[in-house]
Amino acid sequence: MRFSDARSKLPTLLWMFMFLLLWPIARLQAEDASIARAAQLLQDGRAREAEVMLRDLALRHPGDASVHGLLGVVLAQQGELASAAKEYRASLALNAHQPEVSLNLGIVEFKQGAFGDAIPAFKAAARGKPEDPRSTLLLGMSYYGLRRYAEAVPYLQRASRNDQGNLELHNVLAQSCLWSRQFDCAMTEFQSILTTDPSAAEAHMLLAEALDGMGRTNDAIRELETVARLAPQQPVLHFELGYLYYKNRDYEHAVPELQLEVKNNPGYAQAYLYLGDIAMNSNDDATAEPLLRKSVQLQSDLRLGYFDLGVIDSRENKTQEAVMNFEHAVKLDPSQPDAHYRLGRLYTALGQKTKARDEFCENQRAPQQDQ
Amino acid sequence: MPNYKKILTRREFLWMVSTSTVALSQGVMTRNLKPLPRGKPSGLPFDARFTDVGMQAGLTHPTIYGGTSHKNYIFETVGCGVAFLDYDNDGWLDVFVLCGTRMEDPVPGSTNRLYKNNRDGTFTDVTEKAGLIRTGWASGVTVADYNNDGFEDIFITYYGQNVLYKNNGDGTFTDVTKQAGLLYDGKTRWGSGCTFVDYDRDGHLDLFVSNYVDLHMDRLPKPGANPYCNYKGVAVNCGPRGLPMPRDYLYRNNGDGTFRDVSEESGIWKAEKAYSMTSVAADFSGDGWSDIYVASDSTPSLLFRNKRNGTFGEEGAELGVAFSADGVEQAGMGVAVGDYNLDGRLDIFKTHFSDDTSVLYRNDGDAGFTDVTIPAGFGVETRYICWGTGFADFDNNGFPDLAVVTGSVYPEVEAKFPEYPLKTPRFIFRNLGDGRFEELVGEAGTGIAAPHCSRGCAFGDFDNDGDVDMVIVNLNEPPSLLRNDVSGVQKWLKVLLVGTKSNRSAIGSRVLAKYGGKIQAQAVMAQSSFYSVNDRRLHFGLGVNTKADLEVHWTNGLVEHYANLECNQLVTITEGHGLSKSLLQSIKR
Repeated sequence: MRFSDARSKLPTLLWMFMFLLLWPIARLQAEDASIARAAQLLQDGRAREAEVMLRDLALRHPGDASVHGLLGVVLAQQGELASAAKEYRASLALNAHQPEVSLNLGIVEFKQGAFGDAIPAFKAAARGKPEDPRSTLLLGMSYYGLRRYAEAVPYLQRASRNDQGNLELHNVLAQSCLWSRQFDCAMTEFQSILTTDPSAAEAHMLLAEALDGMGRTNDAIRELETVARLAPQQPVLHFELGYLYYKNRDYEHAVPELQLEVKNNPGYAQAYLYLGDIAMNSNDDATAEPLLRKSVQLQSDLRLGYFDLGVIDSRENKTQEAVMNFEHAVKLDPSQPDAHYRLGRLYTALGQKTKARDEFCENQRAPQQDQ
Repeated sequence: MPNYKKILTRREFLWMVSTSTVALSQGVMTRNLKPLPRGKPSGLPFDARFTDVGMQAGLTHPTIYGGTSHKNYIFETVGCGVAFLDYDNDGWLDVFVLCGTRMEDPVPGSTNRLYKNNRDGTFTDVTEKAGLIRTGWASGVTVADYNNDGFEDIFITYYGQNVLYKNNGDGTFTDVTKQAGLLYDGKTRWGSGCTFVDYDRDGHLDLFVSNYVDLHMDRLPKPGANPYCNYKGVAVNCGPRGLPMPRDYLYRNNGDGTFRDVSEESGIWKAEKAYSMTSVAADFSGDGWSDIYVASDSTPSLLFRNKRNGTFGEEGAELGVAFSADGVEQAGMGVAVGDYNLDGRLDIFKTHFSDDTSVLYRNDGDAGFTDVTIPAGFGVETRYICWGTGFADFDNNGFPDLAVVTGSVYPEVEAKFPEYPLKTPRFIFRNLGDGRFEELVGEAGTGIAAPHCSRGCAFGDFDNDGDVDMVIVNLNEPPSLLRNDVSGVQKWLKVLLVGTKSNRSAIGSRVLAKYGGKIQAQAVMAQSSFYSVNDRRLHFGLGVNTKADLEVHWTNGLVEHYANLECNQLVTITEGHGLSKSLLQSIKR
C-alpha cells in the first residue's frame, strides 16, 4: 500500500473500528428476553438467526428503537450496509438520543463511502458522548475522505493526541495539513513520523512536499535526496527531485533526474515536459521541441507544453502554428496571462487588432502574480 | 502521491500558492524567478577596469536619503538621479548629484550638489555659488537647453514641488519654476521621471514629467499595516501597490520661456495610470519623431508613440514593451537605450526588483519589440534590486555593453535576513557580439564589485580620455565616480550635436555610426538610466577600425552624412553647418 495514498487505506483504518459495531449490543437494554437472545445469537456468530428473530420482533414491536438498532448491527455484520443504515435511522427516528447508534450509522455510511452522510451521524454521536474519542477520529476521517482537509485537521489533531503512537493516523493528519496548506502542521507531523520510523521513505517524500509548499525548496530537495538513498525505487522519486531542481533552476541536476524518470517510466509526460522546458530556457529549441511534442502527445492537458511550443514557433516565425499552440494553452487554462499576452502580440503582428486588444484585456484581467 | 493528471499539477499548484502569497504580501511586483544557470565563461578579454575615485576626486558629500536602519515611508527608499552635464561649456563634464533629506534628525547640508570639473581628475563643489542649494526629496533630473540660449538648464522632480533652473551662462542658475508656469495648483505630487523632448519638432524643448505615487502622508499606512507593507515577513514601508496611481504630464514649450500643460490634449492622459518612474524620449520607431517610454513599477510600462500631429498613443502592450515575455507586469525602474545587436535600431533594457530579471527588448522595427532577455543571457541575474543602467561600449570593442547598479530598499530586512543585504554590487553585462551578454562583476574592477546602496547613475567621459566612466548615486554615502581605464588599442569616436533648427541640445536626434561593416544607432537623450542624465556627447567604440561614417538624423527631420571620420576624436556637428572646427575638442589621449 502506498503510504501517501491514505484514501486507499480508509478501509484499513475502518477495520480498526469494526469492534464498535459490537459495543451497542452489550449496551442495549433489552425489554424482553427475545432481544437478549438475539443479541446473544449475534455474539455467538449466528447473525442470520439473529436477523430472523429481530425482524419478527420489529414487526411485533415497530416502536421499539432498540430492536431497530440491533437489527442494524446484525445487517452491518453481514455486509448489508444500506439496509443497516435504514434500520439505524429508524431507531434514531424513534429515539434520537442514542450516541452509539449514531456512531454505528456513521460507520456504515462511512464504509459505503458516503462521507457526507456519515458526518452528521458522527456529530450527533460526539454531541451525545463528547468524551468518546472515536467519533472525533471518525469525523476527521470523514472530512479527509471528502477532501475537506482543513476541516479534517482539528478532529485528527484531537484524535492523534489520544493515540500518539498511531503512525497511520499521524500520516493522515500530516497529509490533511499538507493539502490544506497548513505547512507548519504538516512538518510537525511528518517529523513525528520520521522520529518513530526514520526509514519511512514516503514520509520523507511528503515532508519534501510540505517543505516545498512552504517555499523551502532546498530543504525539500534534501529530503528527496534522503529518499534516493533509502529507497531509490520509490515511484516518481526522480521526477519529484528533478522537478525541484528545475524549480530551483538547477538544470545541471534536474536533467539527469528527469531523464532517469523517463527511463524508468517512459510514459511519464511531465518528465518530458520539464526536460523540454529546460532545453527551451537554455535556448536549445532543437532539443526542446520533440520533448515538448512528446509530452503533449502523452498527456493532452499539459498547458505548459503547448505554451512552450508556441514560444518556439514564434521564435521560428511560424506565426500560424504559434497562434494554434497559444490558443490551445489558453483553452486549457484561460486564467494564465502569458498565453493571452503572446497571442495579443501575434494578432498585432497579423494585423488583427480587435483580437489583439481582446487578448491584452484578458492578460490584464488575469491575476498579475508570479507564474 | 501527486495527482499529475490535472492541468495544474499539485506541485505547480503548491508552488503557485506559495509564491502568489509572497507576491501578494509585498508592495512591489516581482516574478520570484531564480537565476538561470551560468554557462561556461567565454574567456574573452575585457579591457575595461573601473576604479572608484569619487572621494579623491572631491565628490565627498553623502546623498542623504531617508533613514539608514529603517525607512518608514516609500519616498525614503526610491532615491534619486545624477547628471553628467557641461554647465559652463568648457568641454569637460561636470557632475550634478541630487539629494534627499531625512524625516527624523535632518542632516545639515542635505542639498543637491553641483561639482565643477577641474580638468585634472578632480572636482570643486560650486553648489552655493551656482545658486543650487535646495533641501527636499529630489527624484529625477533632466538637462538640456530648453530656451536655446547655448547653456544647459536643469529640471528636477521632487516629492513636493518640481523645480526648473535656468542656466544664466555665468556659472549661476535661477529658479524659474513659477515664471515658466510649472508651479503646482496646490496639490502635492511625487514627480519621478522627467525628460525634455521636442515632441512637435518646433525646435523648442517640451517637458514630460512622470509621477510615481499619488501620495498623501495623512493616508499612508504604517509599516506592516497591510499586505503591501511586508517583505519576506518583515514589516516595511508600504507601496507602491496599495497606494493610488497618479497621472503623467506633458508640458509644451511656448518658445518664450513658459510652458503649457498639454497632458490631456496630447493623449497622455488617455493611458492607464501607472506607478511611473524613469522616462526616456527617443525615436524608437525611426520615423523621425520622438516617442516616450516610461518604466513603470508593478504596472505595465508605457510607450507613448508619437502620432506626428501633436498627440501620442500609448502602445506599450501592442509593441511588446509593457510586460515581460509572458505578459507579466514587472517593477520597472531604470531604462537603457542603445543598439546592442548593431542593426541600426534603438533597443530597450529595463531594470527591475530582485527575484526577477532585467529585461532586454530587441527593436524589430515595424514588428515592435521582442523580449530577448533569456536568449541574450540576462536570466542569470535575479539577486539584486536593479536601478540605474546604461548601454556603453566600455572596452571600445565596437559592441555596446551594459552596466547596472543595485541596492536594496529595505534596511529592516537585512537586520533579520543577512542574505538580503542593503548594499549590493554593480555588474557589467559585456556584449559578446553574437546577441548574447556575459555578466562580469569582479572582472570589471573593484569599482564594480564594491557593494553600495545605489540608485541613479550616469555615463560619460569625465576625464576626456576616450572611454566611458560612470558616476553613481549611493544612498547615505558619497557618490561613486568609477573611472574607466581601458587597456588595449581599441578605437573610438565621440559626437556632439548642436541643433540650429532643431533644439540646440539636439535632444531626440539619432546618430548611426558605420564602422567595419557594422552599424550602430545611438540617441541624444535628456534622461535615461534611473532618473539620470548621461554625457550628451555620443561615444562609439570602433574596435580596431580607424575610421567611421556617420548618419545624423536631426530632431527636426534633416538627415546628414559624414564619411571617413578619423577615430579617437570628438567631432562637433552643427545642424546644417557640418563639422564645426571651432568647437572641436582635443582629447588627452
